[in-house]
Amino acid sequence: CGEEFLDRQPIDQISTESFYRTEADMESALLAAYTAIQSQQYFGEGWRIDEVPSDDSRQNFGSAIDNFSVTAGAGEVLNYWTGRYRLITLANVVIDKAPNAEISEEVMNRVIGEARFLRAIAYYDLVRIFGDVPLVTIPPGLEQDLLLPRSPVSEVYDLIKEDLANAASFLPAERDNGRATSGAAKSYLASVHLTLREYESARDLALDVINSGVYELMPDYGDLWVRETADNNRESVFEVQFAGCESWGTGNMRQAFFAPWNQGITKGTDGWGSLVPTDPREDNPNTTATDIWEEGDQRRYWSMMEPGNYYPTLNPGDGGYQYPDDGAGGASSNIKKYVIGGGSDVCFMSTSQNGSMMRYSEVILIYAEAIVALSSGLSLNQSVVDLVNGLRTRAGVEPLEFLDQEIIELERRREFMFESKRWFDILRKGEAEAVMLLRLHGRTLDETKLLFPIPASELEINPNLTQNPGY
Amino acid sequence: LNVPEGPPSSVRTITGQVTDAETNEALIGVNILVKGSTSGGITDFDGNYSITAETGDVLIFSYLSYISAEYKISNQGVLNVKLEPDAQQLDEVVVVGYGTTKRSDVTGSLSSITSEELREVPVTGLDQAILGRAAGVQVTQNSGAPGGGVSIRVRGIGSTLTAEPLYVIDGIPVVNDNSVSRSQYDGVEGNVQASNTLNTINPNDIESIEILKDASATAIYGARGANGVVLITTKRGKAGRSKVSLESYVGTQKLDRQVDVLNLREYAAYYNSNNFNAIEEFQDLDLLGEGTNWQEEIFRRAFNYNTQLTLSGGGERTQFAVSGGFNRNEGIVIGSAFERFSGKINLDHQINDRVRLGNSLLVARTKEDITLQDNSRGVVYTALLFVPAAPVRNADGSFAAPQDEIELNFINPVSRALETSDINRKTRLLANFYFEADLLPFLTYRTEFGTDLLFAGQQTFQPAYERGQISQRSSLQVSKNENRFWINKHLLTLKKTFADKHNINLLAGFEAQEGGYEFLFASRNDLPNNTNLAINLGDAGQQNNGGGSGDFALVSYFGRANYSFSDRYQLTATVRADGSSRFGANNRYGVFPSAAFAWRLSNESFLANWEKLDNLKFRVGYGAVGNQEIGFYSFTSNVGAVTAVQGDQIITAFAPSNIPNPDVKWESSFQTNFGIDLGLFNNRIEIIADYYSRRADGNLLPALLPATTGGLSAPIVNVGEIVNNGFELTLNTQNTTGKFDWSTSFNFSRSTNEVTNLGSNGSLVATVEGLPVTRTEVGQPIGQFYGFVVDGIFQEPNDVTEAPFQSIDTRAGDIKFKDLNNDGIINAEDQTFIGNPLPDFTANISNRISYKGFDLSFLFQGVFGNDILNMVRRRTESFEGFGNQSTTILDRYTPANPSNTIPRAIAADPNANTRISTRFIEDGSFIRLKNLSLGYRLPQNVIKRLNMENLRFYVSGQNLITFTDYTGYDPEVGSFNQNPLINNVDNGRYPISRAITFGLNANF
Repeated sequence: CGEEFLDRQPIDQISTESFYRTEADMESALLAAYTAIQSQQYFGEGWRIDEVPSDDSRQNFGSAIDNFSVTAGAGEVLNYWTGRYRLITLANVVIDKAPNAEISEEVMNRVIGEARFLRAIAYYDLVRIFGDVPLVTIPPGLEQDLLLPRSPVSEVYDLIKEDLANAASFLPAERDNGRATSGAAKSYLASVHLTLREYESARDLALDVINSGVYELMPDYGDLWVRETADNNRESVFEVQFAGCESWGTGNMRQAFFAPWNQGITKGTDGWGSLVPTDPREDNPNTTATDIWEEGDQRRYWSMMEPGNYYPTLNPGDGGYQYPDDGAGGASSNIKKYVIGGGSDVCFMSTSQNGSMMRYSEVILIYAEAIVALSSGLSLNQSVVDLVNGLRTRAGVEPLEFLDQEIIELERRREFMFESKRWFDILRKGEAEAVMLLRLHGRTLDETKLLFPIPASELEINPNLTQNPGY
Repeated sequence: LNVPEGPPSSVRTITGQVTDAETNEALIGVNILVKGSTSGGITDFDGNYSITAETGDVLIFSYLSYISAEYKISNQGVLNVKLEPDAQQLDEVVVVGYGTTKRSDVTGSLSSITSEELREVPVTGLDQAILGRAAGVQVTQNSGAPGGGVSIRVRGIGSTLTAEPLYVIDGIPVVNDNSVSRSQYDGVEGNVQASNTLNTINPNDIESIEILKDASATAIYGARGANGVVLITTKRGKAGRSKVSLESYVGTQKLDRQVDVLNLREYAAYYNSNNFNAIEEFQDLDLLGEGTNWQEEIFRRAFNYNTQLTLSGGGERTQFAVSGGFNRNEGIVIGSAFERFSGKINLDHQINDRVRLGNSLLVARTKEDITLQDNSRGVVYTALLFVPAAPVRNADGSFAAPQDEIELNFINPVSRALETSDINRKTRLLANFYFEADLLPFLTYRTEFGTDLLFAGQQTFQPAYERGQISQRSSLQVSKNENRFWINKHLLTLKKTFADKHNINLLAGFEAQEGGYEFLFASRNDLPNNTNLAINLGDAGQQNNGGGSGDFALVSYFGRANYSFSDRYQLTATVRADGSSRFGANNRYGVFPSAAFAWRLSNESFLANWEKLDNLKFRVGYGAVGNQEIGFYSFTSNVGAVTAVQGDQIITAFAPSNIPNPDVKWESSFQTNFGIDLGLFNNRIEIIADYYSRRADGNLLPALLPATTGGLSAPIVNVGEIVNNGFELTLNTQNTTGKFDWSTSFNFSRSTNEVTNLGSNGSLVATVEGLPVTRTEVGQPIGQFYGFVVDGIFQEPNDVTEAPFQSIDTRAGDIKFKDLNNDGIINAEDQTFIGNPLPDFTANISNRISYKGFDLSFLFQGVFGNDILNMVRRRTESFEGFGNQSTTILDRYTPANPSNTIPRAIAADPNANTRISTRFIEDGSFIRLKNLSLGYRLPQNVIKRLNMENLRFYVSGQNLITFTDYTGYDPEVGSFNQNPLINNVDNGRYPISRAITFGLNANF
């Protein structure tokens, strides 16, 4: 027996050396990166971190995150972190391997651009949730330093902007497969600039997307949430692709968490009503998810199940579903978004409905917010007001005469309720104002609680990390 | 010179029969020698002999394992001789790696279990046959399910990857990797019940089991011996009259004890006190009965049945042993059962005086009906939590579903056990062929070719139903797992004695082996009905399939030298070099040397006059052995398939799966052993004592990397060091002999474990269902329970405010945890080591008594000083949701009942009273009457009339009495899916049953 007998290479896996060669290989590696966003840690349960602390929602029966008493050892915190670094790692692999693949420069640029887009959206979440974070830009290997310290927020944003700008220049404007486009990159970049209060850039990028002609509003807000038209429609800028009951990790889990408990909507054991809307309480002088609405706003009906609401497409066999008058599962109202009922494409913890990340309506609101900010907080610019009124009229409420910061904030809340936008909008107000708002909302916290703790296990493994103050 | 002829010639023929003094069986091949001459003979198949001798001559009858007898010839022509079996174990032949040796020549540490001991107890699996029989060997069943997983630890835990020994069955190495046939009920990795691969071996076929413990004994297995080696030899034919033996038993088993949970009346009172939505029926407690006792519903009296027929015998040149057996073992949980058909054909043939060949062949077909266990969705676990208010079935006979009023998120445990079917079928062929030739009288060449083929198939079906609030679509999953393995050996053995004093026994060998696996799985949903379970009938639109394969190879060169001088000094030296495909080209080969020396003091002339001293031997040994069980390809980096979605299409994409370590190399274990063997009073007292120190070095550990590395499998690095020190004592006594024959065997083992290095890994954390339960840290034993320390229960609101901060919702009645770092706040930093799952020591004692035809034996098993983490109690004392609770919560804290043991009832557990803490750590020590067996052997005269050789009836009981403080079902919890880091975590484990068995052994 010679060395050949002992030289065994994997059979059901492909060695890294022989992969990442062709365009098909690189496409495949890119697609693998997208699976990270589909995961439980990323989209499936990301709301535990970036939605629960907001003033629109609360966790049924309470949670440490809701009470701003989360500790570094909390599993939700680690999951959020892990899910995003998974995406970053898989994107880094593509960015690292593409230059050595046997592909044209054009393909290489597109592949790298797409990977950089994915990396940027993961860092965008991380930097807002954790502040300074380790900046990983190459695939992991034993020969490198795997115990990186945290990089300052500004450096993280520099990378995000660089990545998104690169993606914006190399990605195609339109694709029919739900993957990232230059429009998606520009929209995210506009959002980043807005967060950093770089209003000119935000305005220009948003306008660029608006003028591209690629996107238009769906006629009815409900079109965004019913099976027939929800996925990859004309309003969609970027969304997580899901395919329902195929295999674990390819389905959207949110119905399981959001559907009211024990109502038989999902035709399984999976309606947990974990996240529920906030409602007015005596000790709470501030606004909640249930008292910011104007009469007749369709967005309320599609965001929340409230007593009196009737949904004909849920439980169609029983003539539709009527939300009980006394609430369900210990809550007086529940979330409607992503609750689509049972069916052949619904399994335990998974539906096929895509997860919305960025819609044309947000681009409009980014644009409007930038304009308002650049116009000293008040805009009468009719074309901008018309754009926002487009959202309002389709929701069934009266058009506006002018725009100001407060109006934009409210419209964002109504348009994207329970879509992990509100918490970040609260953070954008600045520490003092955010803390005041949340205290008015009945919570006990100081400004250190606006950032989440670095996961305890990461600190334990990586001595170069430091913990955020207050934890 | 007329010299008289002398006395009339007395030379004549003497004939007779030689039999066993105890059994009266004819002895074949007994050596008869006329003392002082070279003439002699041997007995034939019927034990008869014929020899020519003179009056006054002395005949010496000698036979292996019997005491030699001398008879002086007088005038008789017939001399029948009864030979006494030699009570001395010293000349017993034991199996060692790649050969056999006399026990007296053993320099290392090994334990043997004979077929006698094996036959005492009717057992389904060989693991149970080993249990309690050997010092330093701890057998724990991972599950009490029939055919369920088992883990065996030889001299502690020396690896964080696997601590299972290598099994060598008739020369074929087998690793008992339970994961080959793991239940696929839930698909939750690491949390499902594993099945025992070794259950394909029929224990009735086993002649002897030898467990090699120290390095000098295991080093000949080099790369695979670090966790000890279990040598299993099956029964072979002997020349002589053909023998037919029948072994059969029937038995019954039941649950030892129930765990107390609330009955309906108690539950309703608890429910009412909790301010849940009022239930009308619960308002008048006097009208309520006991409700459903779910434990009675899921546990049953189970029956088992075994029969085995063996035919053995042969002529001078060819011997055979053929057997067939059937075993059926119902489990005490409804829906679980195990069945095995097994067969064996062992042949030996002598072509001429110098050339021999033969084979052993074992085939088995097993079928296991598995019920989901060992996790929180398991049948045992949910039976404790399911409310007593729910009926098992509705009036129409269908299974009852959760009621509207009591909104349960559980599935009816009876329906879960009976409706969901999970059937595991295994077919195994173990075959070994040998060819042996004496090249010279002292030099033998032997080659072996063996194979181990294991085909495992699993079919899991969940039926469709609509039931109350729950509906389920049907799903069928089938999987096929094919494991193949072959081994080829070439051995040269030289045995020679020089000058009557120098005995030399040399072995040189070469061995090549190759193995691999392939598996396939497929699943479909929505089958047309719940009876035709075939994959083609499901909805093709939702099919899912997959598979995988891998292979490995090992090449080894080895040699062993035994030298003994005048039966006083014995030296064994071994070296083995292994090349394994599991390591990259950089570090492919490992060399494992060992040496041992023994001094047989009792054979020294200065002790020759000590008649009471039969044996005194000192042994010392040192050596290195290896471990390679790290998966097949961790030296290289791979991309693996992941399921991606694009648009509405499912597409297979490829992502890197691991971070490679091209320099990964063998894990080595260095072991030092000191031993004493002492035999006194004609070996009626035998003491074997061993002290060992085992240092596992370069332990293969997955590097602990931060999550910023993206969840790729961590590289395996050689960093860890674990030290096991231990002491083992075996004491065998022959208390009385003669008609009333009583012998006792006692063994004691103590082993301490300490992790002395983990490289850059601060600690290894092991989780069960996502919950960290153990931690492995330098300076501590492996896999210690880790959590908070309970400091009583807050009795008054003031106690809460004065104590360190726990949570804003902490109230009187909540558990007070210790602020270990005194920082005024209870957080993750206040966790510490709260329990050790490893025992301080284990001790077993067995007795064997025979009187006339009766024989009685019993074995007490004792495990002391180990802790158990009772995860079940975390739920039955949690007040969480609407589930049932333990009766202990009747004494929960209320302002009127200031309990200091059970906290207040509060939903959502805001103070995290159920966090892992000393609250759930229990003492797992136990003493158990493992076996008790009473047999009766019919007297010889009756037997003869029945034309039989032997007929024995027996009644036997297992696990009859257990003394323990543990509050769960069963303190014998063991390792979780063989994971060395998770021991004694009771997560709804299938309890071991109490069994009574009636059986017979008949030989014709």
